Amino acid sequence: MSVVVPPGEVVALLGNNGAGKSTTLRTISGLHRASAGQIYLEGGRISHLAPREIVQLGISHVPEGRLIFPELTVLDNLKMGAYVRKGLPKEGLDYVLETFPVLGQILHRRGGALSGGQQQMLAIARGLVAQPKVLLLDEPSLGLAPIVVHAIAGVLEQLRTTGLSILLVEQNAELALRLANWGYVLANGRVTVSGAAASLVADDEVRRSYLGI
Amino acid sequence: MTSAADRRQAVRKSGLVWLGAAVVIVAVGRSSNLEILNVGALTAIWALWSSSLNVVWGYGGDFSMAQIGLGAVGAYMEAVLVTHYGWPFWAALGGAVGAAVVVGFVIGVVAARLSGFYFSIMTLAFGLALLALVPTLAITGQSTGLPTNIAPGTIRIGGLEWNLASRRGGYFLLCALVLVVVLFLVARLVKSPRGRAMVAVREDPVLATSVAIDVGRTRLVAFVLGAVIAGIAGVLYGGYLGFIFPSLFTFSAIITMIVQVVLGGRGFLIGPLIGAAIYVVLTDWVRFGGQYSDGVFGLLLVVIILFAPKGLCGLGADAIDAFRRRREAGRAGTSLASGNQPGSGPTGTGPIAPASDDVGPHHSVVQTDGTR
Amino acid sequence: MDVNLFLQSIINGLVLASVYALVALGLTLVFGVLDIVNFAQGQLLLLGAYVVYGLSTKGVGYWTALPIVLVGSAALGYGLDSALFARVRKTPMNGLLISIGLIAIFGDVVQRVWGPDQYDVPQPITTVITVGSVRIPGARLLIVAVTILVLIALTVFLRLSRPGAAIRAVAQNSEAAALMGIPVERYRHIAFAVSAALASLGGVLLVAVFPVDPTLSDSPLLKGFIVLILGGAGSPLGAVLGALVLGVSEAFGIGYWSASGTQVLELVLLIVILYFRPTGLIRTAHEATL
Repeated sequence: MSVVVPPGEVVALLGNNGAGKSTTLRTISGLHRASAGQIYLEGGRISHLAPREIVQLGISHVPEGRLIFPELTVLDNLKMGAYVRKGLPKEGLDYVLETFPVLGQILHRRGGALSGGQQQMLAIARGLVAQPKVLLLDEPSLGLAPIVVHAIAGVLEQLRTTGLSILLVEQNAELALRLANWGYVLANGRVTVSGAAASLVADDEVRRSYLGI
Repeated sequence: MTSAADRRQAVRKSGLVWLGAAVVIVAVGRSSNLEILNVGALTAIWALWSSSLNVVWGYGGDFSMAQIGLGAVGAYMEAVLVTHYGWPFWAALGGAVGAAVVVGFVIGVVAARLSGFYFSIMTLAFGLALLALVPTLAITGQSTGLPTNIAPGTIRIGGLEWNLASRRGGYFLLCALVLVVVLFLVARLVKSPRGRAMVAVREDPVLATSVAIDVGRTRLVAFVLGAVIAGIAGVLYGGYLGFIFPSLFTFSAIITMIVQVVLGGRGFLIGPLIGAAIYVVLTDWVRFGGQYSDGVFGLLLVVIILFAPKGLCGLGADAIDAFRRRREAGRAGTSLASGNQPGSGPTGTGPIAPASDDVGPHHSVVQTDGTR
Repeated sequence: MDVNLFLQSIINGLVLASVYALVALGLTLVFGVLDIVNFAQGQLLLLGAYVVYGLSTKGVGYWTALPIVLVGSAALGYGLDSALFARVRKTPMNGLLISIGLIAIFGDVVQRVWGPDQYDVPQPITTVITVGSVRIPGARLLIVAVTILVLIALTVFLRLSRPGAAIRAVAQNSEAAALMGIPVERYRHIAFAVSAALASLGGVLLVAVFPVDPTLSDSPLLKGFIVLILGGAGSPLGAVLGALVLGVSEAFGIGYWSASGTQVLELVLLIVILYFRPTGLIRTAHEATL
């Protein structure tokens, strides 16, 4: 399979459970070693790098299930997000607190004590605080109430305008294609359909299988 | 060949193995070399004791640290019944096994609620509590200990006769025959539905529950069975030494047992026997490492865990598997296709750029290519 | 009521609690971060005690020996984790077995170098403080004071420093920590090094009061486990409180009743807690965990 994320755009990966979406993200961030094939960042090969080096190059991964640090405060969670920057950069912190004002009010609360929506915001903020070039977002809407999904979608729309590249894995295909410029449909680890988000929305196969229309 | 005929052949084959073992034991039992007889008897005793851990841990998956304590219960019970109450040996053996079963049942019921490290620490606490209690009782001779006064009688095989308490072959024969019987029963158990349930619980307790195996009960049965074997081993150990005292049953004995089981191979019937044989031959006969053999075996344990965690039996089984595979591959010849390897996806087809082709790979920020 | 015995028991209890807390903190750190129950923790204590003695025979004083032992044991812990335990991360059971192998190895090294005899280490403090009719040896107070200082330092390290937060992040979710670019393996080594240093500090402090012999570590290891369970595995605060409860009640048990009875009772206590609350009695507040 082959996936390209153009700079400053949002690319959505769609597909059923087990299609290989999360694995693709985990492979990019270095948690998985690819058995074949290569990964490039701005033309440079990064497939052989360790997760730490990949983070340093500016790729942040917001994992499925959020995986915040439950016993650390919100602030400490953000500090860990900026670990490779050797301390929390002020502009990074200002930026995420501007994007997620609610986090500013609960900076010293324990991560595990937050609501699901707050945890998801914290997870995204933790990914953004190091000011990456690319954000890998895995299932940001999973298990959240519609109103919270709406709020997070709003944030993602806003992020699109900042020049950040986003590779988005999302069960909610409708949401994903609304946010994305481009979309890829995966099945069994291969790309079956790809194209501009608008054209995918119009695609019969995609409509039937993923949009439920 | 039909499966029934297959099974008959397998039974005949394993019957031959057991018969062969019995013949070897009797032959060694006639030896007049006292050193060989002592090493043989001690090997059989340790193999038995370690088998009790192998049943609970190797087959059942619960890492118990109570086996030495359970053995001590057996040894002390026998010694008290014989020395203080004048029971005959075989009745005292029954009493000792009964005591080990009762204690094992109590520990099992309490510990079966836990798993993993918590189970291990629970059994360690019980084991150490047993060992701490022993010297507080007057009847056990406190820290001095007491004699075991073992007198199991005589045995006649063909025209030959042995005094089973004798160092000249009799005691070796007793220990070795008990070991063979116990291993035979364990082998039967492992092949039975209950034994398969034990292994299923070890591999995946949740899955085992879903196929209607009573996990708690299966673990308890394994633990009590381990207690029976440990109790018998303790009695034989006491008989071998002639005199028992608290410092025989310490934490370092627990380590010895773990080394034997891991070295031989967890979950293999003869793993403990191989481990015990190596241990006893090296420490008792060759006096390898002299007074400091513990450290040598500690090192051996670390090395085995790092390089062959399945133990010597595991190494052997892997080698046999590899040999069989090679032979079968040779037989199958060229008929094996080489294609369709995982990961050989559509590589080299070039990146599929999003529909409008004005965005090439050199513009892209992240690009994956054939990662799966 | 004998005031003297009462106060002696309190002081002795605090001394025991200090050593148990140091051992249990090391156990809990390694359990929380690496998922391993390190049975060799007691041997690290023993090694620390013997090295202080060995250095004292070469004319090295107690206060010089202390930093040497701490640095040495931290290096040893770092090395053990990267050379041995790192290879079996996927099966924590094998980590436990390696630590059991290490018990035998260290036990033998100590026996080989120093033999089975008992030795006294020259006392770092011989002052005896007299309060009314009660005489309190300064060395005992020293143990308690050093332990309290170390506990404060460890708390500051884990709560306020960047590496400390990283260690806790690794303990809470190692995969997320890796995604942040935290060098997970290095922090595991560091956690093991800190744990080893804590255990050896326990040994160094013990020899300020008790003679050195090969069985010195038996009781602290077991007590470390009891404290670990009592406080809830993976909880530093629980470990300290558990050590306090166990140490003081043990001192009173020995002072007013019998040593062997107390020992059996403690094992029974461990069994009862494991049975009813395997997650520990004290770990109620979430903030207590790593």
